[in-house]
Amino acid sequence: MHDADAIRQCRQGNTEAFRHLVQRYQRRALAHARALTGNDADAADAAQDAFLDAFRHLGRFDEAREFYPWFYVLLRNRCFKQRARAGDRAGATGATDGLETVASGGGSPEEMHDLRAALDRLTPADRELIVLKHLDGWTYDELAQRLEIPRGTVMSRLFHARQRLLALIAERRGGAR
Amino acid sequence: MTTRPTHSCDEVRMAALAALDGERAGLTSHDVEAHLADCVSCRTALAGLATLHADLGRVDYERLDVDLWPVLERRVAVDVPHRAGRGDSTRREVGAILGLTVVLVAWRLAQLLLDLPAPVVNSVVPLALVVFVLRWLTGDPFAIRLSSLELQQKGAP
Repeated sequence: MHDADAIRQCRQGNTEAFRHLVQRYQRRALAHARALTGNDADAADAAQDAFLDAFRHLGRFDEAREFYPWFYVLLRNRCFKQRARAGDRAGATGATDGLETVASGGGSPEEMHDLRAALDRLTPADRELIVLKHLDGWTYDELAQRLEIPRGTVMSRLFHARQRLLALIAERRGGAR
Repeated sequence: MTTRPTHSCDEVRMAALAALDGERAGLTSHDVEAHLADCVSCRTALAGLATLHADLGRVDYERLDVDLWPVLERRVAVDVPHRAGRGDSTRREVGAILGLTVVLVAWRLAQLLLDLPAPVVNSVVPLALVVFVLRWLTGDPFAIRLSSLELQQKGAP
C-alpha cells in the first residue's frame, strides 16, 4: 500500500491503514527518537505519542508531501518534550543508556565505546544534526529545509557539533589515562 | 604578483568537512589545499575530523526493535475514530469550548437568579461538564503507554 492510499484511508477512520504507516516508519522513528531523547524508554514513548499526533492531524496533511518529513516535525517536538520531562530524572541519577547499545562498527571496541559515550553527552540539538546526517544521509539542503534553518547554519552547526564531539572523545580518553 | 586569499582555520576546516559530506562550501578545493599546505594545526584537526566522520558512518543506529502498534492500536481505537482526518477539528474544538463557556455562564446566571439551594449540584455539574468536554477534546488521558517497564519485559536492549 502506498503512503498516500494509507493516509486517505486513515482519514476515513481505517486504523488498519494507519498500522501500515506505523510499521513502515517505526524503526526509523525510534532511531531518531532515541538519538534525541537519549534512552530507549523515552524514545518509545515519544515515538508513540508522535504517531498518535500524526493520526489526529492527518486531516491537515498535504498529500503532495512525503509522510516522514512531516511526521518528523511531530516526532521532534515530542522528543524534546519527553527529554524535558525526563531531564530531572536523568540529571539526578547521571544515568544514560542512550547510545550505549546502539553503536557497532569498524573502529576498535574502545574507540566505538568512546564515540558512543561522547555522542550521548552532546546536546540534543547537536546529536540530532549528526544523526540526521549520518543515519539518514540528509543533505545540507534537506537539513536546512526540514529544520527550517539556513544552509550555512547547517554547515556551521554540523562542523561545531563534530568538533564538540571530538573534544568530548579527547576529554574522555584524557580522563581514562 | 598575486595575493593569496586568506581564510580562517575554521572556514577551511568547515569547507573540508563539507567536502567529506559530499557538499559544496564557499571555498574551492584549491583554497583548502593551499591553506592546509601551510597550516599544521588544520592538517591535524582535519585528520581527527576525517576519522570521526568515518566512525560516525559506521554507527548502527537502528537496533531498538519494538513494535509500537499493539499499544498504539488501543490508543487509536479509544482516541481517534471520530477524530481521524477531521479537517475541521479546530473549528469543532473552538465550538466545544465556546459552547462550554456559554453553558457555564448560563449555569452561573441561573444560580444567581434562581438562588439554587443545592451546593453539591452547583459544584459537580459544571465540573462534570468541563471533564466531559476535555475528555472529548483530548481523548483518553488515562491511556496506558508503552513504559520502560514494558520495554524491559519485551527484552528490548
